[in-house]
Amino acid sequence: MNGMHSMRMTMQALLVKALVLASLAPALAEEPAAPAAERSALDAEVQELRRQVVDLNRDLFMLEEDLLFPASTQVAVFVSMDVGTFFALDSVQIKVDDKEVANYLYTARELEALKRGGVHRIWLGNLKAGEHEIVAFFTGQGTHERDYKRGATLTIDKGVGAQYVELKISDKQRKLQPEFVVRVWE
Amino acid sequence: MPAAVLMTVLLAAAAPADGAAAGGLPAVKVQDLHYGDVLFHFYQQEYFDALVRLAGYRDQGRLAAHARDAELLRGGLWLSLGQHREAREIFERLLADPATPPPVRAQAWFYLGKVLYAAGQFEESGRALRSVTAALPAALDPERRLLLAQGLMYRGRFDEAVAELDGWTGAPEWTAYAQFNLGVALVRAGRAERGLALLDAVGALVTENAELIQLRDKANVAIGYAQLQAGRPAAARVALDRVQLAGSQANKALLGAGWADAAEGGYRTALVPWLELHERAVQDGAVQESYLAVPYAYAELGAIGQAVEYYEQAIASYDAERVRIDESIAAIRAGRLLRAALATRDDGRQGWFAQLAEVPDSPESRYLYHLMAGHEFQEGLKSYRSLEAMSANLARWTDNLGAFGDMVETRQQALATRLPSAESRLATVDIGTINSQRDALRARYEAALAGRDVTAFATGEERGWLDLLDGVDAELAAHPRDAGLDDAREKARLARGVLMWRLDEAWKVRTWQAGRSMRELDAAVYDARTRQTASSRARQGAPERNAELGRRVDAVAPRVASLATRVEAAKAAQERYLAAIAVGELEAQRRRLDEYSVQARYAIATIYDRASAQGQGP
Amino acid sequence: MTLALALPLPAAMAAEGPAAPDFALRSVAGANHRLSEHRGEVVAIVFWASWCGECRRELERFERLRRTYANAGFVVLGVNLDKDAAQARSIAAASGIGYPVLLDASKDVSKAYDVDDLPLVVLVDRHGVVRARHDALDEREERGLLVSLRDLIDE
Repeated sequence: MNGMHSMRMTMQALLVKALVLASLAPALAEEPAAPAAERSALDAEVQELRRQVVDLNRDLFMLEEDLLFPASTQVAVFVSMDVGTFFALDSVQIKVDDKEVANYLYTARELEALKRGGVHRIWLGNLKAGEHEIVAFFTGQGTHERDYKRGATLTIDKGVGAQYVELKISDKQRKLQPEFVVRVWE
Repeated sequence: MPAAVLMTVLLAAAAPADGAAAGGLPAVKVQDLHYGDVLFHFYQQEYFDALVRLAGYRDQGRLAAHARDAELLRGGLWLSLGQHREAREIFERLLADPATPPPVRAQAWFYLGKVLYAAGQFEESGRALRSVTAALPAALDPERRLLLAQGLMYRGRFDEAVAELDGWTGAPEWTAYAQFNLGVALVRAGRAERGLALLDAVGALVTENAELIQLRDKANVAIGYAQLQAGRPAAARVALDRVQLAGSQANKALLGAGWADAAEGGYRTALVPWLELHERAVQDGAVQESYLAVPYAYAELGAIGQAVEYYEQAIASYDAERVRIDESIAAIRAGRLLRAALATRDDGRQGWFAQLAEVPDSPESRYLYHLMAGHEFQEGLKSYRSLEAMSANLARWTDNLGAFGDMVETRQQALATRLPSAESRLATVDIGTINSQRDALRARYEAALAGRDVTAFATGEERGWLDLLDGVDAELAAHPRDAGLDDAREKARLARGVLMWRLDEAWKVRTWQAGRSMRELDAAVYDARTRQTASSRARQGAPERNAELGRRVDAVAPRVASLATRVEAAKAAQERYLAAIAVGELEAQRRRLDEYSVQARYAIATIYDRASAQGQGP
Repeated sequence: MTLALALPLPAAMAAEGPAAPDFALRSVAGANHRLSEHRGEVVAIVFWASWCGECRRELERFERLRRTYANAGFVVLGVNLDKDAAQARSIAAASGIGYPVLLDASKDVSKAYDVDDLPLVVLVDRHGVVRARHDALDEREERGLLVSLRDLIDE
């Protein structure tokens, strides 16, 4: 009997101890582990690679732009939003000299980004010096209207430097009626 | 730790200014557009894209108007990618600049504190976090307090850590983590009472938040086992009963609940959770232990036969599991780990494992459920995924560069054929001559204006009359003393008078029209001149610019290639590292099974011994 | 339609290699969906139409797969080629599908993906790279598809 009892105690004690340790160890949710030697070297390499990849991507990003859209012919069109009331932008179409160059569908995620002040570069292209006509439409849904659609036309005079057009969807002029507010920069 | 509310309000102070504010005239800030472009990607959590654009636009000088905000954002983006060194440099530079405005400064201190914390430098981290002023956006403050408290905790300064938490009635999303970590640390440090109080705050949370519910379960499990160890089974049971039956902590809770009952002699009650556990997947440590706990309870209740049966079943199961573990280890050593690193999502959720039953599992996959929970493995896997993304990125650019090279070559050929003809065409346009002709015309115009020469603006018809009149006058002048011509002379004088009067009347209008035409002419000449300059400049520069682009393409190609090679090597090394962790974990599991096997055998032997000693059979 | 690059490139520069052409389409429910927003997840694009008899079975199979693997980061996008959205809507509703059914009436997207026969399933990995195409529906292909899918999710 004693043997059985003591076996029971030992087992119980053993089991409970093992459990408590086992459960508390992973219980600590956050632990910046002290780096083991091997991990450090690996981590350092990954960090270095990532830095170089970012730098390289930056250079490539600029090279691509210079190559495909040199400043002398570059024209960029941006879309931004400044709407006080609810407006679910659905899409924006851009035509340059009567040719459609962009037809962009906006997702919920992108809409959120625009509302917070993000600006979307919807089109980057090349235009010869001189006058060009840009026609833009946006569609969306406001609080009352289904399939609300508005447009804007502008003529730009392309000079020798890069030119930027901002299409801001704004209801500052007339509440509940967002429209395009156009700004052009060189 | 909840996915860091990464800088959601970082830019509250830095939103692009509303340019149209002042009196309808737009503040002409081109930089708004490009900074906004970066934000567009940032707000969609596309941190890599945002950072690349930010760095690019910065180099092109397109962000001058937002220089400091952009720097803060750049630092934050590096931080979000795990690049502590780059982030740290940026924040330190911002702080060293006396012109940095308070809101930016406060955030720089905060993020510096965060970087230092992640690097394990808790002392400096604490100093940085305390340097944060009231200018910090409110939404970042809870995280600041959490980092402060935990930094103290890791330095063993528990009382100060607790003091930090005292009276902090912040959002539970943050406070709960601090309370949990601190609670566990205190219990481990032997200060159970304080620790349990903190854990209980988490264990009693009322919430719908999935992550907090998980944390609550963990807290209750921790309380349960701590109370068991302290010999307070009733208190343990209270906490364990709060754990969800279908969560990741359920098994541990069931096991502990059984032990709580057993500690009070309630073996029949203990069998309830233990038998439930016995039916669950055997890879789980708590389930494996239930294989011993159940027969133990039966033995205590005198059901020796069942006890032995269960013990023997346990041994068989352990043996079978050990074989499968060995297969898994072999598979991992054969390089099949990452197939087996079942993709929990980057946020570490493991919920899908319940559905594994529907899908035939592979040898490697069975144990890694536990492995995935490990912090070290998670971090290692993140690095691996990062390397994969880099690999894909570089492969894409390699393709693009090939296309770029083709473009440069095509353009070079086009310029070679088209330029000469363009040259010759442009040569026929003589701006010089056009200019002098225009100058002459302008001189005449101005002379006419100055001398009020009304005839200068006569129409063709009027000029005809003038000529006619001149002719008549000349005739009349040839016969000055012919009285018969007096009448004609008078008529001619009148006609001229009328004509001149008419010209005089029309003077204003005509000079204005002529002036406008002069201006239009000027504009056209100016236009032609600038176009010619531009195209001449373009013409001259084009081959050089193209060659320069070609040089840039050639220069960057080897960078891409060598980085790609290094990335592949790092991936292989990372895979080996993960394999080592996995094998280590599996071997630990096998050792545990070995121990359990031994205990089961020992238990059976003891039972037989006792039975034979008493002359009874099982 | 832009490609999976930072800037929209002229058509002549269409991505070589297996990068999945990015696209955005409207769903029958009215929301817009963009493929590149699912980077980090494994995506199965199921091309189908009302005139394809076997497509319905494929749609339903993928609903089952979606439910099994959703928590592991698996996303299904149905792309319908009918001219008339009403057909797509009713079939989708009848099949009890929980994933978005996108309308490609102009067939721009299916052209970008070289869709000939229906149904066609394209598997895209977490980094936006096309890793498998499955068209026929016999048993062998089914198993092959399941293996490809599990491999991608396991990565």
